[in-house]
Amino acid sequence: MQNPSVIRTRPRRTSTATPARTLPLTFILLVIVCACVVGTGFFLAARQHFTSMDYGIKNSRLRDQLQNLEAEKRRLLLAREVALSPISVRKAARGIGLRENSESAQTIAVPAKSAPAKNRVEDLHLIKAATREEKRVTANPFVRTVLTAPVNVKDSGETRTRVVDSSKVRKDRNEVAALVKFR
Amino acid sequence: MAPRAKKKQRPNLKQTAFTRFMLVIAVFVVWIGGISVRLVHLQVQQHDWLREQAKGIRVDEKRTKHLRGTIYDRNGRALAISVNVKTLYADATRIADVKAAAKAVAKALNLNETKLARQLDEAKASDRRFVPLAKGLDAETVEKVNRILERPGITKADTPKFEGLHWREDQKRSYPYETLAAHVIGFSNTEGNGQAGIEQSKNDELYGAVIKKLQERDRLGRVYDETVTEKEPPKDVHLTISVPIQFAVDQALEKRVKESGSRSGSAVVIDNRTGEILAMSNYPTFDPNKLNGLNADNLRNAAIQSNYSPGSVFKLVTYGSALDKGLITPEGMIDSGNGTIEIAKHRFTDSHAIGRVTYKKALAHSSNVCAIKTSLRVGKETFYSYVQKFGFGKPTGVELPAETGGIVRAPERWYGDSLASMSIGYEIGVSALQMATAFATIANDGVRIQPHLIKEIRQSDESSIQLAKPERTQVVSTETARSLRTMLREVVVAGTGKRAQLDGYSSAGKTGTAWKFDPAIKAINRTKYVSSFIGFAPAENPAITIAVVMDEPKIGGRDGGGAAAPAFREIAQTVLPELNVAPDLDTPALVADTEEIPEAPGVDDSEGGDGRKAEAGGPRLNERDVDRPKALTPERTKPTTETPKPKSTGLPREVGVEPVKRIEQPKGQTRNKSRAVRVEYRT
Repeated sequence: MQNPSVIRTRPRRTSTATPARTLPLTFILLVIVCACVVGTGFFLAARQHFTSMDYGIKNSRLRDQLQNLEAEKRRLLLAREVALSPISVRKAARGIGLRENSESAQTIAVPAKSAPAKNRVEDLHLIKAATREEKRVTANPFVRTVLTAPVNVKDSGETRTRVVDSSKVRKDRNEVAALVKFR
Repeated sequence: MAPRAKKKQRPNLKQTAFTRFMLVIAVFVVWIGGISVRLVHLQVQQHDWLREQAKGIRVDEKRTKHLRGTIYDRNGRALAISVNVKTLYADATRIADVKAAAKAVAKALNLNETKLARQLDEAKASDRRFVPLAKGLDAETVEKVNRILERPGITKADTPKFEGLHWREDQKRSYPYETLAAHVIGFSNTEGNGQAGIEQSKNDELYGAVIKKLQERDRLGRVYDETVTEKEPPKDVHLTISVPIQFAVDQALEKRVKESGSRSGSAVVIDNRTGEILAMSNYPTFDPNKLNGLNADNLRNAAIQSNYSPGSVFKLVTYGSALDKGLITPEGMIDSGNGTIEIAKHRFTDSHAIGRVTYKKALAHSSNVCAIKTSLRVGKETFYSYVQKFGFGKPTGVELPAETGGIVRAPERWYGDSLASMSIGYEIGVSALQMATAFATIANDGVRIQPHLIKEIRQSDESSIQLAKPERTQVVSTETARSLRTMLREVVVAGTGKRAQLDGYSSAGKTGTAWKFDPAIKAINRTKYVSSFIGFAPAENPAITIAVVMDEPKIGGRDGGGAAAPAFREIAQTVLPELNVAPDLDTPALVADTEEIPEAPGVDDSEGGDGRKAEAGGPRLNERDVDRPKALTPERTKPTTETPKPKSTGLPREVGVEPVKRIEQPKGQTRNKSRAVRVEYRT
């Protein structure tokens, strides 16, 4: 039953709702596209950022590597120079038992203190022989490493006396003749 | 029926929802407002402080130094090179267990554990963040130490993986050739500053400037960005020194110094065509790698830093000036009389009288009388101008620190006999390099080229820095130089320098024997000599000039011909083939077959200079014949009272002179009073 005192001032709400305002599809698409663009932008920026950091790290490592290689190069250069140093070569030669001419001659010549008298006399001969040999070796150390004959020798006009031992010359001549004959 | 007023009112849902909503909004607003205020406070008020904090965490400032420039020889062999080394240090504040750390480090570096623990304890107590534990470790050792010190679970960006331990980059200067050319190269200190030699004189070029690196690190300690601030990188210096030649010179000099029992010796080899110094050697020497416990005297580069009276080698200037002025010719005749000459009441004598001879022979026999007579003809002003032209009295300008200019007094400060003394190489102080340069001038047709040691300075990009060209001066004419070369050749062929003869090469030069000035007695000491031989080879077309100076030789020949000439010979014999100089003689040296000519430092009063040769060339110093008639000289000096009184220069001005009569001396100078001193000259 309907109460007559109640006056319906407004029409009863019907089930049919007021028609909803619908967004246009293009707008939605635009928003989505914009969101995608912004999102992609953020993504790319982040990616670039991390890539740059990665490159930075790699770059730093390469720089370190370069520095280490340069340091290594220097170390090797130093090692080469040390190895080539004549002083080191001499030390190394002595280390493996090599001796210079004069040293070896001295080694031969030094007689043992405890040697008997007879031996000592023999040693004395050895000393003399070694000394003679050493003198022979060291007296004329000239080695022609470049040329074996003088080039463009100019006559300077100077003269000097040359003392020639004729017996030695004769001996040399005989030796050469014997050598030729032998060959 | 209940009254309507009492009827419970239904809550207004909308209002409630609105109120609640507004409450939430308010909370949010307050919250966001608070955050905003805080943000504003942080970013505006505390901006700087926070930025510094962030930088401190993220950015790491690293300071290193460029490796000091390398010194090379003329063939590109490294004579001084810096290498990277590392220093292990402890940040004591970050070490929790000092004992464990000390144990580990001691094991890795073979150190004393107890001492190390004490050191770390003390450092921790005083909050020290840098405690050096081991210095100068090379890469190999560093790797080894890192392996030993590695602890699992330690997350550290740097090595070693041990809490509180770090490496610091350092550098170490190495001299691979040890003593070779040590006086030329010099050395640098631990801060990388040159202290001697080229290291000192070219410190600005060689110095490794500081590199400032701002490294940005991520949370794992990896560097992802780096800003480098650096100054110009150091340059490399290329010297004119040649390692093989230097080694040959070092060896020859050492051998000769030992054989002659000399106190020390110096040798210089110059390429006279270019003025390049191929070798400069001193013995005793030092190893720049081992400076601890070094004798400071050995650090002195005597070849450029020491003055000495050159003696007869200075006759080069005497005869050179006379030849250049056209006063004499090599074949002209001069009479040495009885081998004695008296100048300003002082007598100069020869070791043996040679009579009337050519100038060539006079030089070959090193006649003091002939040299003095020649100088008197030249005159003191002209002689002085030639002394200056040859470069004496001022540094040569070689690129080494503390070079002496020598001692040359102006003519107005000379004594009456100064010209005579200077003509035979006394009352003057020279360095070995100055003398070598003078001879190189003659070898180079009279053109003096400033001696120099630096061939090139290269920048890090391999480009060269333009260096000033060495100064060239025509000192004497080409003809004069040629004539002098002929005269000097005679010295080696038939004079006092026969021991300087070479196999396969002609050589020329001059011997010099001078008494030394003894500061203790403020006079010359006649038992101490400076013996030298300076010459060049080949004689006709010289390639190199070699100067050898021996200080106080004691064994064997003590004159220049006996003490220094053999070293000259040995050096030339090695160096000439090294330089691809073609031999110009096909005969060996004849020194053994010929008679030796003695040389006296300036006086021979034995038997009154009667023409007898002094025993084996030794100066006999018995003072006799003081009342001999005074020799006539072209330039008789004024009485002593009119002679200006120069200040004491420390020079042995009366060397070779016996006073005929005591004359007034300036204060601070004493005449030698030795009587009946006999010097055993040669064994």
